[in-house]
Amino acid sequence: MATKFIKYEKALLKIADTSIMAESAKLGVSASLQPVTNITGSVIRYAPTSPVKGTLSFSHYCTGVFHDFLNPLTAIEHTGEPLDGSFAGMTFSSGYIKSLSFSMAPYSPILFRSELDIYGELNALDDAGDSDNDLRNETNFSHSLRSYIVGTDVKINKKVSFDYSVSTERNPVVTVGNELPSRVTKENVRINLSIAGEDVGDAIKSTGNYAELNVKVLDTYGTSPLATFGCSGQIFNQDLSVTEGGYIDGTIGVSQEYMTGRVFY
Amino acid sequence: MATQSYVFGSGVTNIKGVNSFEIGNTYSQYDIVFFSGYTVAGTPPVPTTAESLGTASGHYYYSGVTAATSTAANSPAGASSEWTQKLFFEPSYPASVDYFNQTYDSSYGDGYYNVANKSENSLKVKFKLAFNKRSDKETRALNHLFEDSFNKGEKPSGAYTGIYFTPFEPYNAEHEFYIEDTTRGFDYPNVNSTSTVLLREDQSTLNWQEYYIPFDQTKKFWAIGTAYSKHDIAYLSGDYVPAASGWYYYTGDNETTSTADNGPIGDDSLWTKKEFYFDINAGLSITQAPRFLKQPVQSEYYVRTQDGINKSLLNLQFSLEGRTTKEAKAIVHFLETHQGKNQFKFKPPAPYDKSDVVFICPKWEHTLNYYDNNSVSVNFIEFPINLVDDEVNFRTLITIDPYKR
Repeated sequence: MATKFIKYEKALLKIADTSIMAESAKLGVSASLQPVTNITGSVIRYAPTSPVKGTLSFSHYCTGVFHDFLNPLTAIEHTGEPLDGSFAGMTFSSGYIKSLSFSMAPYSPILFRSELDIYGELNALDDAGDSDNDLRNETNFSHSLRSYIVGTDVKINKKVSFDYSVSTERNPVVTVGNELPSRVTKENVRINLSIAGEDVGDAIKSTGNYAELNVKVLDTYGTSPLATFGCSGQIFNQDLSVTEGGYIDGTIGVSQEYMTGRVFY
Repeated sequence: MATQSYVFGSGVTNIKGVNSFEIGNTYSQYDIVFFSGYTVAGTPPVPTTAESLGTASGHYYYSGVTAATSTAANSPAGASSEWTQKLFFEPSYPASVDYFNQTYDSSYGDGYYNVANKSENSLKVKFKLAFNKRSDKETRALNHLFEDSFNKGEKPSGAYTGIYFTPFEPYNAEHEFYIEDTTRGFDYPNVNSTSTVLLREDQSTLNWQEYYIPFDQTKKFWAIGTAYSKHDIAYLSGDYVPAASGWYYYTGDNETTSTADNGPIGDDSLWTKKEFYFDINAGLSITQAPRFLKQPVQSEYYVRTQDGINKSLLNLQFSLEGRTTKEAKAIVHFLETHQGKNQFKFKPPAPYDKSDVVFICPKWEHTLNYYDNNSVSVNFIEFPINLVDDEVNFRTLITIDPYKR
């Protein structure tokens, strides 16, 4: 049990035995309870309705090759393997990556935002916390300066920002007699990419306009990408906006239902 | 590995690609094989009719968590086998157990009626199971096991071999079940849901010790000096007082050590045998439809007159929600021991809280919503004559108490 406030430097976030250069992190845990009342107006009890679930959300910089385990598009979807890790020394053993997102804008470092669902027990926080001094030596990190987007010509010549996100549904499978899930499925994986600039390109058709785009993320001095994030789907929305004294801003949204095929047994 | 997708005499299912068991192959959880016994025993090739197949022959499912290379010792017939023909797959929440009593009902007018069991096997259950969000491999094995159960059993002896399954608590005793259909859903790549209903045919109401909840799930025989807590279930052997014998339910809020005085038939008893004492949830709804005579006269005009006595017997359908595993077990056990036809006392909420009103419960359903969260939906039908309080307690020894230890 912690008896004093723990500093940021000792609130190390580790996932899959890897220290994460997190800018911020938040761990929330909640029990899902249903109040049970009787006809005479008393509470009988609070009944649990699903496993105790934690959510770990954090923003971090990419300081080298992007960690695959933070990308919901990896092969984990077929194995359902959980991630272990720790936050300020509190350990967890059943984390499931749920989403990844980042934005790129001129002169801005690229901050990745991730979210994990966590099941199972967490140990108590203590004063010692946890730290990794090696992270202090990291001086190079993902930045919009050299990062870019390639692929289908979406007819936006002056791209001013991108927003990329992957989100999934994680559903716990709890078998009768157990409190914790035996499996956490990954379903409905969706990639969204929005691009802002001076135009919105061709008018969208009722079926959308196909686009195949890749976001190449580089660090400040990099010549080769730290990671590539693809989105091959349909341009499904276009927005134009303007305010007094400003210019017209255009935004298009591309969405991909991410499927990797099915291996039938 | 043999490459045929169908082994002659093994029974056909709609699932392809099931190979023969081979020593030396590596098998992992949810693999399916056809085991003839030939490879291990060195006996001549298996006969080609199902009737002449040995009892060890058939499809097997690998239940081990760890993959292993097959040997004679861990083959389906081996001493350390991980292969099984039983339903070892664990069902998901929610699961439910649906009870219904098959009865002959006689109505005598004036609200009087009689309910008699059709046979000693009349109290039936349906285990409604779902196997949600499972991998392709597990789902394939599960559905193969279900479908293959229809390939077993030969005429004229009848009754195909059922599926052996040990349900979840509190029903956790292995029995033979039957299925009649299954449904499989392809939810997402590598995510599938299967559901089925398991049926039992052979549970006898003459077995005083256990129906569907095993004897081991109770506190067994009540004894002085034992600590009991709320919703404990114990059997009292009534020592020459058969009417006192039976299953009792501890209603005290606090744990106590039993004495003769606070025991089932003590002066300050904390136990009940015939009183449905469980809390009723808020939200109860009571519909009343009193019996009356409706005589058509002409042009859709009706003359309504009263129809005798006992014309508004209560027929209550409600659910006891959010109960602990222990309380749900006591509720279901209480209903089980009343066999769907025996009276018990129940006091509905005011203003219906008349004393000494008795009910029967011909059907109920226990749903396991989540760990330690259960619902039991019931149908209580009022009986016009209270026979519970009219039980005659003969103290003349006619025979030895058959339930006495």
